[in-house]
This record gives sequence, structure tokens and C-alpha cells, in this order.
Amino acid sequence: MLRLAALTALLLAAHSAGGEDAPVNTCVDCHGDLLEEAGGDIHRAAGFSCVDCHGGDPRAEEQDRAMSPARGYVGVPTAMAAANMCGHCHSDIERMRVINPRLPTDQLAQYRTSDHGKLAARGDEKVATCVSCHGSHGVRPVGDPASPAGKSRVVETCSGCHNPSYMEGRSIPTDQLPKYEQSVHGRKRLEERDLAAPACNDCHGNHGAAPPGVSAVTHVCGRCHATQAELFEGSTHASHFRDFDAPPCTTCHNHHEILATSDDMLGTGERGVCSACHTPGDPCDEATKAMKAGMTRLGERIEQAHDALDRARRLGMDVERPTFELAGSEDALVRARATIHAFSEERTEAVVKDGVEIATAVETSAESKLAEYQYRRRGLAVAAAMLLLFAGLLALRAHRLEKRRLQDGP
Amino acid sequence: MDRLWAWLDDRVGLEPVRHLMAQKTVPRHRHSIFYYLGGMALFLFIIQLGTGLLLLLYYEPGVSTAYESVRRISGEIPFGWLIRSIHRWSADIFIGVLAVHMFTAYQMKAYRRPREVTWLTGVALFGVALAFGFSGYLLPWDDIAYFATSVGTQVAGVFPLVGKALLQLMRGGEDVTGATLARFFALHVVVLPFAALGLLGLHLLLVQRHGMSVPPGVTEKGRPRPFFPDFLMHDLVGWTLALALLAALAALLPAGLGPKADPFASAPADIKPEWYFYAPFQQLKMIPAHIGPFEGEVLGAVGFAVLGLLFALVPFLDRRAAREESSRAFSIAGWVVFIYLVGLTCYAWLH
Repeated sequence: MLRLAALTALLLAAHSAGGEDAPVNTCVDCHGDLLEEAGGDIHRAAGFSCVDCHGGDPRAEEQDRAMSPARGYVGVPTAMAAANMCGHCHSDIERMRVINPRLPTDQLAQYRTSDHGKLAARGDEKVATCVSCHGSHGVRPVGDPASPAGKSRVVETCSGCHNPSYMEGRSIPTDQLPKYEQSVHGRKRLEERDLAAPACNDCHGNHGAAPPGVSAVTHVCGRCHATQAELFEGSTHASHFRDFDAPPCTTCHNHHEILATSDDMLGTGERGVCSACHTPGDPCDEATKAMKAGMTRLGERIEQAHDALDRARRLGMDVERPTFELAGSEDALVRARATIHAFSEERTEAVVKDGVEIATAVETSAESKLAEYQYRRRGLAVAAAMLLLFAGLLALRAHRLEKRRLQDGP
Repeated sequence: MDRLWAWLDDRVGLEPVRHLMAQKTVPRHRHSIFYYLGGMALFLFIIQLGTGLLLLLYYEPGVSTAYESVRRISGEIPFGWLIRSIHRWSADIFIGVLAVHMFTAYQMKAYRRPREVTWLTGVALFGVALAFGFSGYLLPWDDIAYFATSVGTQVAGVFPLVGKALLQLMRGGEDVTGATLARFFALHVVVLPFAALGLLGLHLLLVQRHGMSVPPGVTEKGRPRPFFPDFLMHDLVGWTLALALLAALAALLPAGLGPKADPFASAPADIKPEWYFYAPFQQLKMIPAHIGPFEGEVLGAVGFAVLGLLFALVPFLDRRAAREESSRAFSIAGWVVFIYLVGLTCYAWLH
């Protein structure tokens, strides 16, 4: 019995020394360098191997057998075949539920509706597929900063194809990146590293990437600029724009080159964007002049209030409360600038009026602080004069007393 | 007036007071002007008590109320800004006058027998005044107050053996928190006023008991000056001028208030303690990290503590003065230390 137990233990030990049966993968005999590339690959970490994407027989020693189509070898698929290869797993709801239930499974379906997908379906081998954005052997989660599809690299990834060199011979514009770099969004994203600022995919979508149509523009911009979008949709301009088949938002603000707005954009002046449809002096031009004048008035009142607060603050007066209240006026100016998207003089004027009232109250409060400071100084002058007079009288009295003591002698 | 006095004397027994007032004199010599410093310090202390009591009517200790109540005092309560500014400025001048009073008393050898205890109570009063300043600085709970207290208590924590315990005791924990504010408030409005009043009572009693000290080797000029009304009238002139100066400072340079303390914010760049802590502050900044086997910070803090102790014990160290002999070595040492401290203070002020 003891001999049997000893023999069993010996056999088990011999099995353990050899380790677990690692799957044989002869692909790395020739493609070992790809293993390096796949160091942080999410699929490799999950246990997937070359054969899961490329097919073939990883146990075969000979190349012909290992890479034989008869054994399922598909090589490096391009165009739609590449998307289908990834979609084989990523569109399989039951499989993805097991591997990563948080991951969506509609990427392939979305891709087919995208401009990329449509071109790929037509056999365009230069068009972007899954691997163009996510990589091939070093695929990382999108949340990983190193991922080319991640927030910090997506602009770089899109412009990797959307540039004059790669797009040569195609009819689509290739100046998106330089325009985006000049835009308020691009500056935020690229210069200030603000990842909340929109990048390409925030407007065009990810897997279903396509230029938004005229009817979709308001929804795209309105995802962030909700107030402006709502006001615009409720305005008379919305139907006019539809009638002229003009895209809302971008008609006045451009699309990739969305520059910082200013009140000068209102009207038909030199920088006015209304002149594309309106003529100087028409009723709408007059209305925009009134709106602009209201905002200018409010801006000036805020400046005046700030100036009064600064003067009072420099004199040591406590102006924290009015300074806080002035934020309400500054907020009104922001709201007024948003309200112009309703293209209603009355609505804008109502907001301006609110802001002017706050700024006037703040300025009055600051002026009262300045008046109080002057009152303090006058009070000080009177008090100091009285104290000095009293001190002088005391000194005189003390001097006389001292003189008398000296006259009295020792 | 005589009838009122007689009426009060009959009921209260004011004759000893009259006798004291009639008998008390002040020596007259070339340094007698320095005798006014004690009265000036007393006047400023009374101002501190009065304005402190008024501030106490509106001040609310607590992390969520202290700053707001100080802001309310400065901005909303009628003349609150004036009371707070006078409290602040008179604290600064009070400590300055006390420092000069102690230095002149030192140079005039006023500590010699039999006034050793008078000297010790004076030194203790100066310590209490510094503690008043340190504890009061935190009470507005603004950013400068918070971080200056963090640094100040940290210095206390470097003392060997007792440092850690002292730090915990002062802060009421590891960091400056609401517990620290509560402790500093209690210290500022209860403990220190009682200590100051007790020490001041004893100090004044001993001054009455022994009279004003005349420096050794100084010849008196004629008959001593009666305290009442002659000396007191001169005192009143100084006090009135001090009051005018306080009013001017309060109106022209009112006590400020920074942003509310935020423990998670970074410390302001130009953080400094009150001017009377500039000398040790600057010393600790300038001292090398290590001096021989010792840590520079520890050596600096201990050095200042030893200097204070030597200063307090000078009546027992200066044996020549005790024998009414000239003690130039102590006079020169006093000037050296004074110039060193004033130099450090000026350096910290300018940088």
C-alpha cells in the first residue's frame, strides 16, 4: 500500500514539474516580434491567441500546414473582412456577456452604417476599420491613455488618415485638423489638455462615424449647448434654416473652425454673421443692433461695478458680499448671450434688464462702502483733532504744574 | 467733590488710597522718561480688554462660524471694524511697548535686589502677551491665520522630549482643526486674561512696595515728582496721543481679513507670523538644516528658549548689579541681543 502511495506521489510530482499543458503556438516561431507588440494587449491578457483572429493550425510545425486556408487560416483581413473578424466576437452578445458584460455589442452594426463601413463594404482597402483606431496586436481598453482610440489620442488617430497625404485622390476635405486646432474646442483639448472639450468622435460618433446631416446638427451641438439649441429650435430661424437647407449652428459658427464668439458676430457689421441672409437696416438687423446694445450696456455696467468694488477693496473695505452678488450680473450677461439664439429682442432685453439691475445694486453698494470710508476719515479727523487738543491742554497743565513745583523749590 | 469723597470714605474707606496717592513719587533723573512705558503698556492692556470684550459679543468660535462672525463684525456691526482694528493695532503696539519697557528696565538694571520678583512677573507678563498674540491670530480663521498657526505650532513641536506632546496639546490633534480653534479661543479669552490680571496685580503691587528703581550710578535731579497728579498727567498726555494714533491706524489701515481657511488649499506664498515672531521665524529660516550632530531647526528653537530663560534669570546672574556696581558686560550683551533681534525682525520684514 505504501509502495502504491509513493508511486502515485512520484507520478504527480513529475506532472507538476512539467507544468500545465501550455497550448502549442508555432506562430511565434516566426512572428515572435509580434509578441513584443502584443505585450499589453487586452485580448492576449484574456487568453486569446493568434489563431482566434487569424485562423490556421498553431500546432503544425510546417508553415504550409500551419497557414493553410484548409485549416481556417484567414491571414490579415482587410476592409469589411477585418470588421467582420472583430465583430465575430464583439457582436456575439452571449460571448461578450461572459467576457465583458459592460462592453456594447453593436459596434459592427454601427460601423456598417458609417461612411467608413460603407466604403469598406465596397471593398475600399484604405478605409478605416477596427484596427485603424484600436490597433491590432497591442489593443488596449479605450480608457487606457495609451489607446489610440482613447480620449487623449483620438484627434491624433483620426488625423492620421484625415490628412492631405493619406486622402490624396479623394474628394473629401482634409483641413479638419488645422481648423480644429484654431477652434475653441481644439485649443481647450490640445493646448489646455481639457479632455472634456469635444474631439472628432464627440460630433461624428465613434463606430458609426459620419458627418452629421443638416437636421442632426442642432442635436449634435445641443448635447453640450443645450440651452442655445432649445432656444434656436423654438425660434423662427429654425424653420427658415430648414427651408433654405442650411445647417443650424454651423452656418454662423462654422464646424471644425468654431472660433470664440463675440458680440460683434451679431448683425450685419464687419464681423456680423447675419449679413449672409440679412441686409443692413432690415427689421432683423435693427433687432440685433438693439440686442447687441443691451449686452454692451450690461457689460459696461458690470465693468463699472467691478471698478467701484476694486476701489473700495483697495481702501480696505469689506466687499465680499457685493462681489459675490455681481456674479449674478455676469451670469445674466452669459444668459443674454445664450438668449440671442431665440432671436427675440424682448427676451434678450429681459435678461439684460435683470443683469443691469444687479450690477446697479452692486455699484450702489460699493459706492456706499466708499462713502463709509470717507465718513470714517472725517470721523477720524474730528476725533484726532479732539484728542490732540485734549493732549495739548493736558501737556500745558502738566507744564504749569511742573513749573510751580520748581518754583516751590526742594 | 470733597463731600462726595468724604461720603465714599465714610462707607468704603478711601483714606489708604489717598495716602498712597499722596505718598507715591517717581524719581527724577535723565532716564525718567522710560518710567512712562509701564503706564503706557497698562493703558494699552486696558484697551485690549475693553475692545476684546466688545468683540466677544459678536465673535462665534467654530470652524463654520468664526470667519463669518469676524466678517460680520468688520462689515455689518456698527463700528465693529473700528473695535476690531483698534484691538488688532493696540495688540501690536502693546507688545512693542512691553518689549521696549523690558529692554529699558534691563539696561537700567531694574531687576536688581529687591526687585527680582517684579522682574520675573514682568518677563512672565511679556510671555503672556506673546501667547495672547499667537492665540488671537488664529481666531479670524482666515488662510493666513490658519497656515501661520500651522507653522507656529510646528515650531513648538521640534523641542526635544516635550515637543510632540506640546504640539498635540496646542493643536488638539495632529493638525490644526476646529479643536485647535476651540483651544486657542479658550486660551485667549479665559486662561490668558486671568493669568495676565494675576501677574499684573502682583507686578503693580511689587512696584508700589519697592517703588521705582533708580539705575546704579545715576544721580537724581532734585525732589522726586509726585505721582498724582504730576506724573499721571504726563501719562494722560501719552495715553491720549496713543488713542489718537490707534484711531488713525484703525481708520487708515483697518484690520484685514483674507479668504476663509481651507486646510486642503496650498499655503499662501508670503506666509509670515505677526511681527513680534519675525526674529525666531527668520532665525529658523536661515539656520542650516544640520549643525554638527544637531538638527538646525531644533537648535534654533532651543536657542531661543535658552535665551528667554537667561533673560528671565538675569537678576540672579548679574551679581555686580546686585551689589549696586556697574555691570557693563550685561549691558553690552543686552545691546548685542537687542540689535540681533531687531536686525532679524527688519530682515524678515523686508523679505
